[in-house]
Amino acid sequence: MNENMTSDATQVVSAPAFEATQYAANVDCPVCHTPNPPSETYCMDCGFMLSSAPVDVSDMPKPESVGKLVSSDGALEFPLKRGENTIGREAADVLLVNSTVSRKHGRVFVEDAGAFIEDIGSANGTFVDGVKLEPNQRAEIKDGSEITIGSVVMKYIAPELAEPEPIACEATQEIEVEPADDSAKTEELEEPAEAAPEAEAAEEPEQSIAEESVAQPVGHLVPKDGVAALALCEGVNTIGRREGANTVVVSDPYCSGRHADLTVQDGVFTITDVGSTNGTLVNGAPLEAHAARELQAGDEITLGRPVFTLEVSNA
Amino acid sequence: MNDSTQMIFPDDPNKTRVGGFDPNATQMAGGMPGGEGNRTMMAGSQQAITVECLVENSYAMATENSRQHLVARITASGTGMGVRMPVNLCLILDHSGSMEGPPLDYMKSACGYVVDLLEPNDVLSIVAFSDTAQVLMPARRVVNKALIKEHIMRLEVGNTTNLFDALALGASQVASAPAQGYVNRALLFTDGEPTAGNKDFASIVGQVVEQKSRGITFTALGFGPEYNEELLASIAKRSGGNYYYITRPELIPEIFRRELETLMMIVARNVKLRVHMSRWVQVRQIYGKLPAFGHRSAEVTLSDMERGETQSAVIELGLEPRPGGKYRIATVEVSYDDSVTGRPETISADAIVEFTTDPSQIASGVNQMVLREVEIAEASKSLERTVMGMRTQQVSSADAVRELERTRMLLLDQGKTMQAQDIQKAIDDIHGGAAPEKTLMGTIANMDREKNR
Repeated sequence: MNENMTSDATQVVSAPAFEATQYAANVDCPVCHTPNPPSETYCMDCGFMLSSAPVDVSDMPKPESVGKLVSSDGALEFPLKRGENTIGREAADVLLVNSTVSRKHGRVFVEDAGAFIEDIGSANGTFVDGVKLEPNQRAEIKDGSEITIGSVVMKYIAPELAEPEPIACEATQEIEVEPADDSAKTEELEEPAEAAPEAEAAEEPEQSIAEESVAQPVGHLVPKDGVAALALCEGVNTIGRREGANTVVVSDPYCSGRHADLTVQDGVFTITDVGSTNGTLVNGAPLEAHAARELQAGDEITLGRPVFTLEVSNA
Repeated sequence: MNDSTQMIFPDDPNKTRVGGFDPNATQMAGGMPGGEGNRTMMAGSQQAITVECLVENSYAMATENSRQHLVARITASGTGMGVRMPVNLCLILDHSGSMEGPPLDYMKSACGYVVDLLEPNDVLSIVAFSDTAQVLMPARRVVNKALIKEHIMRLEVGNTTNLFDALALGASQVASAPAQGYVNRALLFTDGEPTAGNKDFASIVGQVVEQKSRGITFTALGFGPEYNEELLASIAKRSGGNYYYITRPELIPEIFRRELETLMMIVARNVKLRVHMSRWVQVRQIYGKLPAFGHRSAEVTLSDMERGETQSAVIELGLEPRPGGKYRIATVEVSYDDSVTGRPETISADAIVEFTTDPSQIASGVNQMVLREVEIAEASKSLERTVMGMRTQQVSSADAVRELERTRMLLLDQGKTMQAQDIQKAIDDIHGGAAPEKTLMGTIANMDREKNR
């Protein structure tokens, strides 16, 4: 009895130290799936506030995407709207603040029959694929058409290719769940136009959150004291106290900021303590840090102080 | 980590507000990408300038393309710095034929005035130009004031105006003296259009921009009715310096003194503002500036800042639809050389907008202060149009006066009395049969600046 108490006292440090949190895993943005270092408050790519959950708007009417004009260096981008889009140096839809562009330079029309451009009497002219337009004469533009406005060179990107389609968000439970797979995602950082990750079949976030492919939990950590069960997903589930840094947040002061990784792969569950202060126990046996340990359904897992039971969903 | 190539914006003021956030988070984020910037975020450290980022609306529609203005307001601290920085000044003086008589005499006495105000720590050089440019006095410490004045008095009138060579020579004089810890400035005084050497405006302004990248700022003083106000204003604007219009010769010494006083109060030089956009955000324009666009960024040069001064940049953004929630749509980053510490510094602020599907929230989220700044920026644009219109005689005097009167009321309304007075002066000019363009150019150049001291 006495022995037990002392061993408890040495194991459980009352004030959680922060060292363990320094090497936390990346946090994937729930909106654009960019991995972010846990220190970021806002997603480095799309700016989403990582400590919050996105509101799904996929059932709301969306503006029709009718293509866009992009400058040749990619720095300027103008989404077009159906109907008339004005081009000019001042108060235009396609606003080009450049001395070679007239105040009112031209117009782009997006119609059922296609996209057309017209020069409305500019000083330095408008060219489509090197051919100068006569004033007030419409010319059709196609995907990839090079449009020169004064000295500004732009490209027309047709709708099918212009679609920015990351608009549906993941299942937004209280605990953000998402398998982390950094290696597959980092390539996308270079390509802002392509938002949805294609590499992972497990979590393709399509139009609707109702679709079953979205982050379906493969198991749960059921707490002993019986509050809400924590969902586990295929892949790596990072567990810890710190919101925004973990896919599974355990808000108990004895749980480290980054405590453990629970990996689910082909139905096999393994847990690794990532150097937590108060340790991880499986069925009462402490784990060595950074050593993976396979789990079975019904195993009792202690994360610092709180105790959970692993529940495996039927596939 | 794979993501190390991404930009990190460490000193996010919002960071510390997020509940339950790990205190280590702010430490880990430290260190500026690219390296040399000094972050002085510790409590109690003195930052010469601060930046604040205001959004036109704290909400935006999540389901529509929308536009929104941002105001980046940069303020130089008004107190405390104590000792002034030494200046490294080059006077670039026009002594072309048209300067003969009182103008040349007043210019000489103005220079004598400058010499009197400088101290042995300061460095002065003098370049004089007419047909060619010559170094009247190479850069040296202001020790023997009598001797320097003697140099100035020897100046006689020449013929034409070789502005291009003069700017190059003046810049080389500033560059020849040690830059560290000095306020570098070339002060151009001219009364005419360039008539000799390279007369191409684009080349002249291009040269100024190039010198600016080496840390040399030009202030342009235009005297009399003949000089080209557009050229001088853009020399000043593009290099972060000041533009003055001097109407009468007896005012020359006063304006020289005013500029020198300004120089002695400078706390931040080489001020640059960079807007980093998040995904689904585009910068459409930065009012009154020609931004250099990069990958999801836009950069502009701002004026050197004196103590107590505020300047704002009004930025128009295009926002694309996205899932609802709070986003950082942009980060504005201001880099500058701190005149007090002599080190490059970087500060930043975030623009946070919540994307919603509820139109009533949009109506509630408007920031009137931003709308007022936008109005001022628009007024500045319309002034520019008026100036152009008068020059090409497409705008009649009566129309111009009406337009100016409207702008004046707007400025008064918003407490910009200094600029409103300038407009009144321009209106008086028109009534008196004089051309108001030179005055107005100065108003336009100073529209985004405010001095509170």
